Amino acid sequence: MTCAELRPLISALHDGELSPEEAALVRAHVEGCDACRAFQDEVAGASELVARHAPRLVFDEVSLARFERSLAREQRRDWRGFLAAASFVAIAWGLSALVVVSGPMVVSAFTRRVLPVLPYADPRPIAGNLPPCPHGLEGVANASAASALTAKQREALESSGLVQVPGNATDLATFFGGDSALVTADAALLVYQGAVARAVREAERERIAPALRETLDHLLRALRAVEREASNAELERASRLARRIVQVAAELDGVPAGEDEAVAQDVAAARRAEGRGESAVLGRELSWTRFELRGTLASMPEHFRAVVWLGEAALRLDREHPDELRAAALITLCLARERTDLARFADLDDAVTLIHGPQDDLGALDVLSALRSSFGSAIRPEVVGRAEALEPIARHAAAIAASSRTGAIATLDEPGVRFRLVGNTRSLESLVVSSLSGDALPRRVRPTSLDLLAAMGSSAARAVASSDGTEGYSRALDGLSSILGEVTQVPRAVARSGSGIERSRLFALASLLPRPDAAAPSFMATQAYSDRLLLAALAGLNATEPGPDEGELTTDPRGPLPAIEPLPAFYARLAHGARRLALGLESVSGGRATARLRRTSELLSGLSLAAQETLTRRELSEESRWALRSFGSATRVLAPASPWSVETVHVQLRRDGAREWLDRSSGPLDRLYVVLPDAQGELRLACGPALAARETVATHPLTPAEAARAPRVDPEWASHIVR
Amino acid sequence: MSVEDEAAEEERLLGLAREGDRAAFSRLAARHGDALLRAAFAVLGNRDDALDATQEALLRAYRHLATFDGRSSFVGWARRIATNCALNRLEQRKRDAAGVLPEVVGDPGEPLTEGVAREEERAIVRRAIDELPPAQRAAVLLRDVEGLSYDEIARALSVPKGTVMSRIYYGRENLKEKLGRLLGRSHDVR
Repeated sequence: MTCAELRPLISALHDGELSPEEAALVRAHVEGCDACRAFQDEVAGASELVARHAPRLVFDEVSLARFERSLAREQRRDWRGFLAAASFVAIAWGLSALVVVSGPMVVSAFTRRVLPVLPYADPRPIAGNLPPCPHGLEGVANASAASALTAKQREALESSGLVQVPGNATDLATFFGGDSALVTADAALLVYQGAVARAVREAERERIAPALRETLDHLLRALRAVEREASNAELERASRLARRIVQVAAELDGVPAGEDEAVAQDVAAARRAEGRGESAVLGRELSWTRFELRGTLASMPEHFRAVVWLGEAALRLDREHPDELRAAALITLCLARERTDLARFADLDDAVTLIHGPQDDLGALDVLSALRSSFGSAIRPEVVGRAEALEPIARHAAAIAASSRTGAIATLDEPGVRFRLVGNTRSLESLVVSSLSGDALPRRVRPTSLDLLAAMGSSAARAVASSDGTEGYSRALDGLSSILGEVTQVPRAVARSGSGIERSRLFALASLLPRPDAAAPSFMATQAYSDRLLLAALAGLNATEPGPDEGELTTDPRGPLPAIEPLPAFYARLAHGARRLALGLESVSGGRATARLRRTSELLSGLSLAAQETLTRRELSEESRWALRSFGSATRVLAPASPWSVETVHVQLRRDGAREWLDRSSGPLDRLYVVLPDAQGELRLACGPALAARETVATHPLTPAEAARAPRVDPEWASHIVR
Repeated sequence: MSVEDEAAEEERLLGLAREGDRAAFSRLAARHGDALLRAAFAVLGNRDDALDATQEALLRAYRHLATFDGRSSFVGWARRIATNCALNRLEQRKRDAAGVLPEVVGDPGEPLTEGVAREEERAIVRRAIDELPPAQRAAVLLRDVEGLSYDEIARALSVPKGTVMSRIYYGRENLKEKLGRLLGRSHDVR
């Protein structure tokens, strides 16, 4: 036998899988062969490394709770039947939900839902022979559309084939219907965002809000029991704090929860939403303006306030704040007392994570892990009251925070590890932006969104955004986090965060960053065009307020076909994102909004095809025509009610420790003029809506109304905007 | 609990579960969830997918408990269902993945300094495992992490024992390449 033939047997010998005769034969060879001996060592080495480092997943209590839930659903038994089954497993208060986990716990089984992985490939248009960018508007059909331009604007259009003109429209739909309409990247982004925002609102209304209300109701009752039976003063104080936090949330959520002066005081302050002031429950100052209704949840004021409150009511998980640490532990224990409640909360947590992103601080499932690591599976509330309980919980919580969460972000705001039931999630982008300050940006006074886009301009950052939804995502993420870590001191966990929605958006935006290929119209290769895309992307990153849920997408069979800004990959990625979100949200909401997301995905696919056909000067296909003819209706039915939006990012300047807010806003709509060849090779002038971003640094977060009044400052590098 | 007690308890739970007692089945799931999850992970190499496959496998096991004849262990039977579910998902994923090849970041060939940090070592090993072809990864992990015998692996993956041996061998050859720097040396086969 040759060495090569023996090697599989050497590997099997290592596993003790050879017969005595075979083993003797192999051993005899190995003894006399240096190479095979070295191979044997390597097999042993590799085997040991795998055994030591391979993830050892644990089917933890959350997984089990989920399984029980699906088992119950599968049986189509009623809820009471399931409760009876769950209580069969229950042993005692606090024991029931905790399953003894055997073996070393290296990696906890996942607790977060993720978006499905779908096939995706960027469309690759074949190079067509597009005419060169015209100098002058001669030979351009409907050049009269440029009559509204000033001499300077016209000059810019003639020299580069593109100009953005400040405008004051607030309605996307007004741009469509005429002869020279243009579907712009910005308009597509708004349509996409409008559909997403409506889906989010629906998921909040149908699933998250009721689940939160049930959770609060259940928690309040359980915490009252703990408070009543508190065996010492420590436990009493902690359970009172925990109960009050939950009670404020419940009251804000519209559930009258009984008399308590401190609770009543904070509830009233939250409803007033004015100024700063001390919270009677938390004993620290809060910015009550945060309770001012805004964003997607503005139409659900009670739920909105409850969520904001829970986001504000962070509890510090260290020994210096024993009441807070204990309160967090008690909330968690009460939540985990019954598997049904735990499963409901895990579902809620999933939905929140999917939609809004993981929170910055430790959540109940993390604290549950810390409790289990501290005390094993048998935990009673009394244990939490003991003095010696604080150290292990704090230590394990700190370890979890260090390994999995955005510890450095917490340090930037306030030092320490904190607990939140829900709330206070931030976008990947705001995390990056808020981490960038002072020393990290030597030549910049303060960070702006541009820095995120600059980060995305790195090939590593692009690889992440480009691979979302594919199997290479985690690998690309490792690459990005090391780079972000180096240049901006953003921890790896920051890069790992971001909701499904956030990721889908970044995935689409990443397609705007590479230079267009040679087949693109020449205006796309100009600096002005790159500026325009960056600006659109910047504005597109703003949160938008969904419009009312009414109207159906219709197609105007006779209307003129709008031209399209030829960015096939951008539209295709938006389509991909919408489809993944529809699938991801199906488990969370399901109804009308996900159907609308699917429809949006089809529309955006059609636009992608239309853009490709434009680039290759092919006759428009049926699907493209459908998409282009439906776009005007989509702007009415799907796009947000208004392009006005404000997103606030909290910035801490290191110079003097001062806190400021970076507000990005957009709206009203500018007009974008481009010269594009149609399928017959004729040059046409088309005009469509364009977003423009502004950034304002303020000492308090701006309301949309304030942002609207703020002076409009266009970034210097937006060279395509001509006043 | 002694080994005998364990076995008796398992029998008791199985008996109850066969009669439709979901709580008893849930206890079985708690006992063996780790094993099923890890088997699914061995095939899929992805936690989230593995968890989904495990949930699906447990539901299937519950539905088809009547077909479990008790000749092998419950965990062996359920593990086979878990790997089957995982393999189905893998197939689905393959069909789905016929798209983009994401940019590969970082240079894996970069030389490491003398004392490789443990964290870094773990990252390298995990990446190497991640990059194994699924068939090899499944066999190697079931052997080196779960400590299953070749016979048990053969049953779990529904392949002949000889195939298990060669998959493990090729898996290790692959790992050897990728872990070369950690293993310290590399040798050519004569």
